[in-house]
Amino acid sequence: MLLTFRLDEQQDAIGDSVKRFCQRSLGATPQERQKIEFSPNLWRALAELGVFALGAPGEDATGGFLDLVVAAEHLGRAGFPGPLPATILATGALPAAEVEAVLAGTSLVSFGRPPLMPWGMAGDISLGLIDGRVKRLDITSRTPAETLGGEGWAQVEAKAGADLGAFADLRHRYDLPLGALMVGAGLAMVESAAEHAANRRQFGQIIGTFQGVAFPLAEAVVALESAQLLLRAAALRLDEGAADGPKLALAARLSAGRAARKASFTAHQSYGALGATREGPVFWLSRRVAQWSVQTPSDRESMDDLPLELPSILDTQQVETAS
Amino acid sequence: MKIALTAEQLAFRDEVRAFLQPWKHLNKYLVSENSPDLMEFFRAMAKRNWLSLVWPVADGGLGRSAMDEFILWNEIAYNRIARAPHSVGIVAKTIVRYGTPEQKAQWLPRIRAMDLTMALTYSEPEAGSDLAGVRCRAERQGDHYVITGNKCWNSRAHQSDYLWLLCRTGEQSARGKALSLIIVPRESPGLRIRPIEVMDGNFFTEITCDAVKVPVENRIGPENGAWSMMGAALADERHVQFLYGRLRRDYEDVLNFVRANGADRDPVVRHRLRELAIDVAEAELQSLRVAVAVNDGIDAPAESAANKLVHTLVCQAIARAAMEFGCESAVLVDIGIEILWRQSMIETIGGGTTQIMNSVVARQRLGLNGTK
Repeated sequence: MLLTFRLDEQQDAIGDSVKRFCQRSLGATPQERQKIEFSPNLWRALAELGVFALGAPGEDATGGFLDLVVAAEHLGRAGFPGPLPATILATGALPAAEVEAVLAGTSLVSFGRPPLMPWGMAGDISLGLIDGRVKRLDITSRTPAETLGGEGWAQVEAKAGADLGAFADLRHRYDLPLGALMVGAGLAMVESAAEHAANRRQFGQIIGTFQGVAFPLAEAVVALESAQLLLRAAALRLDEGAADGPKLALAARLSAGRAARKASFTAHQSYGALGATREGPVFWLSRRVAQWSVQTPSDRESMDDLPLELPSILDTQQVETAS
Repeated sequence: MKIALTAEQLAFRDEVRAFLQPWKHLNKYLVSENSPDLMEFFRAMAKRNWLSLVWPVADGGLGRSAMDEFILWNEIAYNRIARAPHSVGIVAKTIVRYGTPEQKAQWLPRIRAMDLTMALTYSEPEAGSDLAGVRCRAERQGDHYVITGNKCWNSRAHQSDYLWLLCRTGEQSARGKALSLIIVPRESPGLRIRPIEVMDGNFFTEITCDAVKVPVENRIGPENGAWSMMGAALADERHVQFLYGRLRRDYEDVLNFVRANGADRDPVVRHRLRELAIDVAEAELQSLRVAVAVNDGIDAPAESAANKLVHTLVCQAIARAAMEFGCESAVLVDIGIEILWRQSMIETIGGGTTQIMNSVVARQRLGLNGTK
C-alpha cells in the first residue's frame, strides 16, 4: 500500500520533541505561554533542537519538509515567537557560509518589503522581497514599530544589495512553515474553545449542546484539517522532488490562512466576553494569525501567484487531459 | 505518509480509463441507476465483473480492494457518467454480510449482472434524517410480512425492480432497535409509487404500502436488526460516495467556460476561481483520507462526515460561482453550466444533511453534543 496518512516514527518523534520543548520553554498553559516573549536565548534553544535544519539544502538537512511541517504545527499550537518562515527561507537563499549561523540560531533573519520589516529590530540578516526577487538588504536605520502581533517589527531605511534569487523559486520554503504555524495555532484555538463549550453552562445546558455553538467549531476544525492534509501532501511532494510541490505548498499556505482566520473568529465568539479580552485564551494566538496573514507576502498578494489549475495530488493525468 | 498508487493500481486506473472512452457522452452525472442510457453502461461494467469488484470471490465478486473500488468510481465520477448504484453497493454488501446462502444465491448473481435494480427506501414523510423514527410497519403473519405505511424522498423507486425497504417490526418506542430490512418487489399488489421530479432531472418518489404482502425470506438479516446492518453498509460505502473526481471535473468545466467567455480577465473572478481550486485540492485529500481508512478497515465517522461536508459544499460553491460570474450563457441548457447548479442543491441534503454531518464532526472530533 503506497497510500497512507500516518506519520512515520521520525515524524512522530519530531512532533513529540517539539511539543515537549514548548512545554519546557513556554509553559503548559495559554496563560503561561502568552507571557513569554521572543529572546535570542529562546531562539538558540529552538535551533539546538534542529528545527531550522529541517528541509535545509544538502548536508545541512536533519530532516525533510514533512518533518518541518510537523514541527511547525506544534510551534504554531504553542505560539512560539520568532521568524520561523523567514529562517527556513534563508537556509535556501543564503550562501552556505552564512547558513551555519542561521541554523545555529545565532543569526536572526528578517524578511519583508522595506520600509516595514517583520522582526526588523532583532534581525541580524535582512532579506527583502523586491520586484519578485529575494535581495539582501543593507539597513541604514531602524525605528521600532508596534504591531498587533506584539513582535519586534521595524520601520527601516534600506538599500537593496545582492540578488539571492527569484522568490517564486524559494517561496515554498516560506509558505510551508507559515501555513503549518497557522494550522497549529488554529487547531489550538478551536480545541480550546471546544473544551470551553463542553464545560460552560447557560440556560441550564452545556453550551456545546447548542448547534449555534457546536457547528461553527465543527466547520472550523474541518477547514483546519483540510489545510493540514494539504500542507502535509505538499511537503511530501517537495521531499519527493516533484515539480508540483511548490504550487501545492502555496495552495496549502493559502488554505491554512483562511482556515486559521475562520478558527480565530469562531474561537473568539465561542468564548463569549472572555474571548474578547487581551489576556484571554484566544487573542494571544489570533493576533499572530492575523499578522501572519498580512506580512509580506500577504495571503492576498500570494493568491495572485496561484495558478488557476492545480495539479491533482494523486494523479496529474486528469489535469493534463483537461488542458 | 505516502500518497501514490501501486503499479497494479495504476494499471487498473488506466484500464478503467480505456474502458470509459466510449461512454464519455454520458457526462451529465444525473442518476445512479435505472436510466435507460445508463443500464447499457452498467451491463458493460458487469461483463468485467466490476459491479462486484470488491465482493468476496465466494460470492461472485473479484475480491479486490476498497482502493481499487475508489479508483474505479472516481474515474467514473471524473467523467460525470454515474454514481455507484445502491444495488451493487449498500444492498449487495449487506446481503454478502448478513444474507443466508439461499438469499445470496437468489439475489447476488442478478445484482452483479445488473439484471435487477433496487431503490433504497428508508426516508418517510416524518422520518428523514431521523431514521430511527421510521413508522412504516411490517406485521408478521405466518410466513409473510404485511407492510403498511408511507415512504417519501426515495430516489427512482418507480423505475426499480425492487425496494430495499426499511420498516418497523417492533415497538415504535424502541426506535432503531425495532427496524428490519425487507426486499419488496415493485409490482407487489398494494404498492403505489408516485414520482416527484427533482430540479436536476432526477426523481424522488412517494410510496404508499397498503397491506403489501412479502415472503419472510425477503427479510435480510435478523428481525429488528437493521440498525447495525445499515451502519455497517454505510461504512462499507463511505469511500465511493463523495469522490474528488467529480469536483475536479466540475471545476475544470467552469474554468473552461469562464475562459471561453473571457471572464477570466476579471480579477474578482480569478480570485474566486483560485479559492475554488484550493477547495478542490482540499476535497481530494479528504476523500483520499476516507478511502485509506476504508481500505485499512478503520471506522472513520468523523473523517467521513468531514469529507461529505467538504465535497458537497465545494460542489455547491463551484456551481454558485459559475452562475455568479456574470456570463449570460451560463443559463443556456446546452452549455452545461446550469446543470451543475441544479445538481448541486441536493448534495447537502441526500446521504446525511450538512446539519447531521456537522453534528457528527462536533461530537466525534470535538466532544460536543450539538443536538439543540
